[in-house]
Amino acid sequence: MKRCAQIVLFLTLSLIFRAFVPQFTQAQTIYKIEADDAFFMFFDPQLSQYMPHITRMYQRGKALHNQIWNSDTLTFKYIPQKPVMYITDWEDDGNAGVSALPTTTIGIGMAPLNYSFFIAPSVERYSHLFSHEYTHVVMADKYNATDLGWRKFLGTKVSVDSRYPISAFWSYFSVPRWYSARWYHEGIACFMETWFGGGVGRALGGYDEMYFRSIVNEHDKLFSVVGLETEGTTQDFQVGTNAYLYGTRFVNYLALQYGIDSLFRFYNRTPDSKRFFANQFKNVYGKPLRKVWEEWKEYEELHQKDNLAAIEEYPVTNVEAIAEKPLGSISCPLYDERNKTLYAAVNYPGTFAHVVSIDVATGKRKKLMLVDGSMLYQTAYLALDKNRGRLFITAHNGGIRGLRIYDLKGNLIEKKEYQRVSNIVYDNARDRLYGIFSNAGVSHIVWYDKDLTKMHILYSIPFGKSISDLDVSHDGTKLSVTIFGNGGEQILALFNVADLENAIFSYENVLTVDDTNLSMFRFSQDDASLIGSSYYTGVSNLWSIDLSTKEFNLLSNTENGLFAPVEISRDSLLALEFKRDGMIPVKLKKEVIHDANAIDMLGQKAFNRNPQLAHISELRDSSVMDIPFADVYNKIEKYNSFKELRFAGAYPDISGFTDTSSFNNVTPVLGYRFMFQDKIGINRLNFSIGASPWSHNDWKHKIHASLNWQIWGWTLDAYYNSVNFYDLLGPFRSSRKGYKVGLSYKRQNTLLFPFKWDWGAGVATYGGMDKLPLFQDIEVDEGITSLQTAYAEIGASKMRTSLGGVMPEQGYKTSLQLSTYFAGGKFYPSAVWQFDTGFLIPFARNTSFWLRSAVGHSFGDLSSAFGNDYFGGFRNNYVDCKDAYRYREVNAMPGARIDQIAAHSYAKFMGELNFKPIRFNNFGFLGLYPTYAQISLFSTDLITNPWGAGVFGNYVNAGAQINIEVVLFSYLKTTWSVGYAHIFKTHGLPEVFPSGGEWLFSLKLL
Amino acid sequence: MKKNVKFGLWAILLLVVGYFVGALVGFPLVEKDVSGGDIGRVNRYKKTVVSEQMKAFEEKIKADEDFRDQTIYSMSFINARTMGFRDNAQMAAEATADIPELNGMSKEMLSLMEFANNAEGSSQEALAALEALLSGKNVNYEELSNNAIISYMLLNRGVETAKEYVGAVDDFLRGKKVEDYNILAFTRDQWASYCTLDAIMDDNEEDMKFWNSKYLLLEPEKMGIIVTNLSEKLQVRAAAEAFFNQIPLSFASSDSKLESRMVLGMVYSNAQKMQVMMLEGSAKNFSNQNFIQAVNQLGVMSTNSAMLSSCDELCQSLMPDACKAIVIRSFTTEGLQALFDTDVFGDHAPMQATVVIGNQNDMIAAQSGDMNKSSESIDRMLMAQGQFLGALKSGSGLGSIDTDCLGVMANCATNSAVMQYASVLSAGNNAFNFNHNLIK
Repeated sequence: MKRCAQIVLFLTLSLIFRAFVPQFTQAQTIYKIEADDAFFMFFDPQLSQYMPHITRMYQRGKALHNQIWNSDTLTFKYIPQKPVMYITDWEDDGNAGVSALPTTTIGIGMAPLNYSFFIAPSVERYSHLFSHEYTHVVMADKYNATDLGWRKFLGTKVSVDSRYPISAFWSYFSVPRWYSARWYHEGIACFMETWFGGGVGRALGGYDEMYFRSIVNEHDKLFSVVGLETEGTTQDFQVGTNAYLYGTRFVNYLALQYGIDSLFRFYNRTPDSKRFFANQFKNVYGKPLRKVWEEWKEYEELHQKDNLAAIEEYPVTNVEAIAEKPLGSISCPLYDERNKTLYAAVNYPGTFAHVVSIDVATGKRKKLMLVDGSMLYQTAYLALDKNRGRLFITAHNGGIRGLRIYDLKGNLIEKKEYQRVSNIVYDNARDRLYGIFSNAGVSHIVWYDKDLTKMHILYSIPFGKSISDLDVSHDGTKLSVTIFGNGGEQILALFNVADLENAIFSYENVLTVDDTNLSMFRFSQDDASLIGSSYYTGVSNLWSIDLSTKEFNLLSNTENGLFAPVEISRDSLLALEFKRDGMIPVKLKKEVIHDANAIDMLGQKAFNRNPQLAHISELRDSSVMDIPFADVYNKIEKYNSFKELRFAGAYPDISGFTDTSSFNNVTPVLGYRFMFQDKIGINRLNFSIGASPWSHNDWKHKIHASLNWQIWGWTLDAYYNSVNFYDLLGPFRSSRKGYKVGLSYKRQNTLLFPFKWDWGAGVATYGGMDKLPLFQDIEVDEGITSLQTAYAEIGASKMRTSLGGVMPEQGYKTSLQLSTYFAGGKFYPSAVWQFDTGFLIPFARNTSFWLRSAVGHSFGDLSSAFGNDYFGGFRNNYVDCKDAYRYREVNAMPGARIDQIAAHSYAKFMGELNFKPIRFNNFGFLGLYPTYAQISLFSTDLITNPWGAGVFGNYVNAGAQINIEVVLFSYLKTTWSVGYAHIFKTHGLPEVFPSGGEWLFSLKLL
Repeated sequence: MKKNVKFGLWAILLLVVGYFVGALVGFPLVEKDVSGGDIGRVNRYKKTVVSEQMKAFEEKIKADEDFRDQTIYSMSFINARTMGFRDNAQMAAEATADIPELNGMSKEMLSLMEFANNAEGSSQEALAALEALLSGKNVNYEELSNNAIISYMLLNRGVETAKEYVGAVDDFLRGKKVEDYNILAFTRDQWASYCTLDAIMDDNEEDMKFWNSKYLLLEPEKMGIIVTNLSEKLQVRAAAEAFFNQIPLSFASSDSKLESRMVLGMVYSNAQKMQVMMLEGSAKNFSNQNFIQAVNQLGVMSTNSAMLSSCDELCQSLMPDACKAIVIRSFTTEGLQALFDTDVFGDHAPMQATVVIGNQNDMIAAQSGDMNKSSESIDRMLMAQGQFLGALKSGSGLGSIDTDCLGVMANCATNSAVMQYASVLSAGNNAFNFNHNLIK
């Protein structure tokens, strides 16, 4: 006992010491600025000078939103929670996100935004991001009296923790509007960003207009409001972004049809508003949401038909498809005139993102190589070295980009990680690779020599501006690029390479536009003009600009949209045509067109109906932005996550505890849970206390307490008579008598996604036990009531999921764990190695086969409980929070009872076939709907004691499991599982194991 | 009227009416923007709402003293390096122009010149913007700074050409007397010195070894003679080059490299065509009559009594339009007074002059790390400076001095950033030994 107390004391003091001494605890330095109404954090001192500007933009966004949403202050004053903003440079493309739970948090990615296909128009990016993100803040954080009452009672806005499912109720009561459909949130955010930006945003975006036009043009269906959540956000080639498209569209329609006053009343959490967004909709519009959604669909049909008729008033450009079907998201295509081949990175449902070559004459496609870490819309950036037959491809496009070099057969030549370069183009005249390098919020035009030995900077863009769509002339003398200014204007700029190399830093302004875009312009074959696309008429058509006369000529009149043209001969072009199911490469004649109609934009119609939208970008009090630089800059300090730990709420809780004399061997426990957290969740402490006075256990097992403290990668975990909610709905039990104190560390590296690796280690001490910590039905050796454990593990994985997939479909995962018990004065070390590998079944979308294997050996005394591993069961509880596919775990063996099979050493192999999920379309209700059903078949062979001591055994089973995902309130996902497995009778072995079956019924919460 | 004629007239009338109706239909719903045809421009609301100028970098320079100092230092250094590069290219081009075997290198150097002039222009522009920013003006410094830094990085390509040049000159001079080709040898040594420092700054071990193997051809004494004969357009930084020659190549630790950078910062600082040189009064160099004589553009004089007489000779050899600047350094105000009392320059007044004033003890105090002492010394230096400038302005000093130059000099002299160098560099830099590391 004394030794245990010493160990406990040591571990606790160790963690406290590490917490107080940041250099031991904090993986890196974090900087903070505490303003009156916000808390800023950033991780890179290079970003410090941008904080005052970001602060001003935040103040602008907040003030504009307050003018709209906080106007109902007569009876009830909403005081926004002081948000925590963390400014990062962790990706090469800028982005942002908001969480409302438990504190309002806004994450801002510093990098310039990605303007692929000009999908997301924006003004100065921080102003734009705050206009958008602060909408989310208000939508979730704004409360009425009822919400406030719950927050006061709970002490916080409760964040859902799947380990304690009751937290879901508290969460919904404290932040009800957070649990609204994604389209609901994104729609209003895109709407507000547009009008706060003076008309620059998705609500007036050509891409959105095109997307819906293509649906009507191709006689396809618009998703219903429930179908959008089930099929639309998972099946479409633009997974995840349909929420933006449909949301913005529907909000535009509401503004057009019913006016913005009603729109704002729908969204505003006023004292008399309804908690659930759909109920509030009916409250404002007097009609169910579903009905008005259907109205919008009818209107959209007519609106697009009018637009199509306007386009068709003039001859529509004939295009010849090169591929037999749309290829989803496609990069700017590259053309090799020597072999008439087109190269592009593609990503469409049914396969993984990859690079493809297409014979332009025959349309024959050949898959070359997979893309590591594809991005939305453009998949990846490509460049072609025709001299040496090499393809350059950007990797990890969602994070810090790297480069891959392949030959044209798809063989990897070289990898260069952490380059942060996009928009790559190869200069075949001078053997250089050009690109746009992004770092610390600014962009630079760079070049590499042919061997990529070193990056050279040619030109730097001042902070605040963005550049995109780089191209190099065929003779290598010029570079073209589009520069995006703060007011939403775009400049097509031409650089003379020789000038830049001779320190002449100027460019020619070929064309400036203020209210449209200039995208993907590339040099003609004779370098006399630039050819690209623009939404000038409202439709993305192709345009050319003569570099000497500056004539801007229309080259197409298309119904959907054309992008990324490349001249392949004097009179023909290759381009990408937008289709409902993605982009398709096409060939078309190159000729100047003189007549084309403009279309009407739904967003413009909404604006015409509500001209007051012109004024909502005007600050009533512009002094909110008069923040002197020094007032912010001089407040920068270092952040200590330990010192920032604060009370973050508390709520009552119910859980279960082992009691062999009670029903299901479990007794309920009533308790209270307390949370403490620092501002961004690096330092989190949860503890709970509970009691089960009605149980059949002795008194010392009627009191329960637990503590979990996580700080950076460290975790201190302790309990006395641990409880678990899911034990109430067993058969699998995690609760244990006695106490435990453990300290562990885990570190994960995902910079090279999809490759990930992690490692961890931990020690723990247990006392007062009656069962082994990990095996519920295995009693400890007689006389042993305490033990210590230690483990170390390392793992790596590289897994991919194709569009529409619900689980990894290809790749590998491996891990090695070394662990030991120390009990009764003896060590019981063991080792387990796991390796899973899988592949997508050809021609069967989202269907994969996996081979999962594990090998383990215990080095301790075979006769001791500690000297074996134990197998059996599906291991799901009737209600659970862990993975629904627990039969994949090492210790699972469906068909046998939990822990029924003991092994001193073992080898285990499982073959698993996962079928494509079946998507539900328009089935269910707004607050409750199934998204998919999916079936898996498996068969396992467990060989026990194949070497060394112990009785040899061979156990085989076969089984199936069906999972159905059901969503409540948009974000509370549940999985309903039904399964059966049969374990076969063993033959020819010393001990006959009877055959038997096991049914599985399980509901995974959250 | 015949029926078909009537019919024809009606048809024409209908066509005409229809044409006009057709032209009106759709107006004003669709805006027709005729640009070589009838291409409709989509109607889309747009209003400029964000107009804040991005001045984050500029604001940081003003708000953060340490960052400001670093910026001044690094931009001045960049400026000095680009100027030095340009000068080396020019000198080398001229030195090889009349040697047939080295005509190729002359052309290479001339092509470097074009780039070098632009690079120097960029850095000058940036430095001027920095000065303006620090004076409270609203300037776009970030972009100019970017351009200057890129210019400096582009100088790297000159290193390969410089290697070629050094190799070519070495090959040419093999078997010949260096004294017969002093100018050529001098330019060769200039490049070697420049590149040596480049290798050190870039931590390029390979290049450091390469340059370490290349001994300099000229003794410092000979530099003065060479300079005399050089083209009047050149700006010679003889003393500084002599200093570079002395940098040991065995810098391995980052502290040592920092030391060299800091020393360089002391050598080259501040704006425009001014070079404030804080040099040790090394008898070895400054007693060299020929060396002093050689300075006809930018030179170093020491005002010990022997030197004063040299000034006379020196100035008489100066050509007015060639004389860009003279650096006068005095350890004592008495020495300066002596300078006032002689009409050193006669009719050959320099177009600009840079003065650093301080006595030996003050210099040592500035390095001592004792901030109280060093700031007193600096004050004293400033006061002496003020007296000198006052004398100049009143015309009792060096004859006619270009007023603009004087203004710049005054800025230089009173620029707190300049003086901060002394305090920044001296405070806490125990490894730095002003008296010993500059010139041996």
